[in-house]
Amino acid sequence: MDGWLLEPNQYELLRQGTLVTLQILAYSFGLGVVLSLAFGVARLSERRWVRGVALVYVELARGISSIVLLFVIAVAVPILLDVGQASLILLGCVALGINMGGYGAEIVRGSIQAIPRGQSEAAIALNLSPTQRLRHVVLPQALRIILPPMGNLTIEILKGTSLVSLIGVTDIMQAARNIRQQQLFNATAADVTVLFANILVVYFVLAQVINLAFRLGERRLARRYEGAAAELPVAVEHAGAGIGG
Amino acid sequence: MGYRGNEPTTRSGSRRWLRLLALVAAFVVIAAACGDSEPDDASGSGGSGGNGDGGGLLAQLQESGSITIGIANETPFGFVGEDGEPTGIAPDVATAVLAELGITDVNAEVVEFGQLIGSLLAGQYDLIAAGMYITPDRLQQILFSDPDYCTKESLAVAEGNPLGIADYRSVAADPEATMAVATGTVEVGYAEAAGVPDDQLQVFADIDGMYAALEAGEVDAVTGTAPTVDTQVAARSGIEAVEPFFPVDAQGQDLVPPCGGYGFRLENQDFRDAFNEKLDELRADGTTTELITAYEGFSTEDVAKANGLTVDDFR
Repeated sequence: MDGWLLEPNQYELLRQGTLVTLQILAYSFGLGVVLSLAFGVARLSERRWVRGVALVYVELARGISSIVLLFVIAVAVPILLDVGQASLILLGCVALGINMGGYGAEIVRGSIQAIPRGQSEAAIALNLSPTQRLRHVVLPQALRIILPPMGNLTIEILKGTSLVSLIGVTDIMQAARNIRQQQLFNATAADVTVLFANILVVYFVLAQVINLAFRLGERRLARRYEGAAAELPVAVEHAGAGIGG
Repeated sequence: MGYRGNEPTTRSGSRRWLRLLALVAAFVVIAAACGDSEPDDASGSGGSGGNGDGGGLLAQLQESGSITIGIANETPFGFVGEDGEPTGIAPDVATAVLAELGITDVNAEVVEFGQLIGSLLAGQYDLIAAGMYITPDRLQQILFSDPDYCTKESLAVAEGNPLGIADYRSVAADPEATMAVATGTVEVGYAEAAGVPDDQLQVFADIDGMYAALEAGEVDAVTGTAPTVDTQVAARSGIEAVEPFFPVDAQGQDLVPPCGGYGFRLENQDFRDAFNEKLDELRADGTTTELITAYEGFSTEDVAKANGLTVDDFR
């Protein structure tokens, strides 16, 4: 077992790298979710041009490989526009977030379409505005369908964060490469397997944590929908009562 | 009536909501893309370039006393040491020269070797300190200081050298032999000049991957500067280095000598000139010889050869 561990100072480097990876994951996830919802809903808009814009975004974000998008945003754009490079972590998050948004928008669109039409029709009968229909009737139900593939996508993005090591951000991957060079320089522990086995464990654990978080979310949602009769938000209840009376 | 509460009541609510969402999304993207560039500029830590006011870079660096340099994670030329500080030949020499200019706080960004120039132009850092060879092609894109070392090329091969590889021309002579090169390195050009066909060249993005491929038997040879090859061979088992050689073309004519210098953006002429002046002083008084030969695999001849050359010899 001893042979599979690294030096304490090397774990310290990995810990710092892991924090950077988590930071990038959090930012890109946040941006990705916002973009997913915005463009997923926009894909179903009544207006043609809104649908068109959303379609163009989705196809571009999905169609461009993450690493190309990363270099375009982090290196090419600053050179072309002749502006200074913003924080590399931020630029990396924008690239990954745009990428995630492309996939996520399709998940959101598919989930909304999977909700039976009767739900919308009932909501219309209850005199709910389109916004209320979406917020209180369709999206909450769609969320149950959205969560599992979203968890999948988040793990994808976690692994995608390793790409930022190529533009000079010291994430887990770059920390591992730095350690590798130190090992080579000191001509010690030349076995690269041990180093990368440790990295593998770190990524695996992080992926399981994400997995667990989404499982918990799914279970909470399931309880809400399959357990006791759901309570409608106050505003919706009043709307219903208004129609009745 | 029939509706009470704090929700919007109009029928066009959904459109408004969509518009708002799209706006927020657009804002997030734009703010994220532009927002941080200014604070970064002000701190002078990285993004100070590319604004066209290159003339002020030297003054700006001297005022803040700090600089970010780009290195390529290649021992012994430049890597991040265990203390997190940039270490290696090029960062050591650069640190000594920059100290003469009053810039004492040196931070390093590690990028892939092939990405060094792109990231310099994007303003990620203000100086390349990676032992980068001075070549006519690179001189089109960036400014170089005078060289501080020259070196021979070498090849790493499997133990016992089963294919009898000695230099690039012997790789070209054996159609079965494959050789790994790192993308963007000067070795790519040497191999082509020596007549190695493309299908015998395997291009890698990083140094480490090439030697791993050699150990795994995926390639028959890995090329690099003699010091890199020596360092890698010493740290690994089952591979050995050939006798270092100066690269020649297919006819046996000498190619431009491989010598490394420091890279600057084209608009930072004043910074390069100031750096070069101090570097020449340190070359003359033997400081660079001392710093460079402290690393294994570098001889005083390697440095002496560089000391006899200026950047104009490479055009």
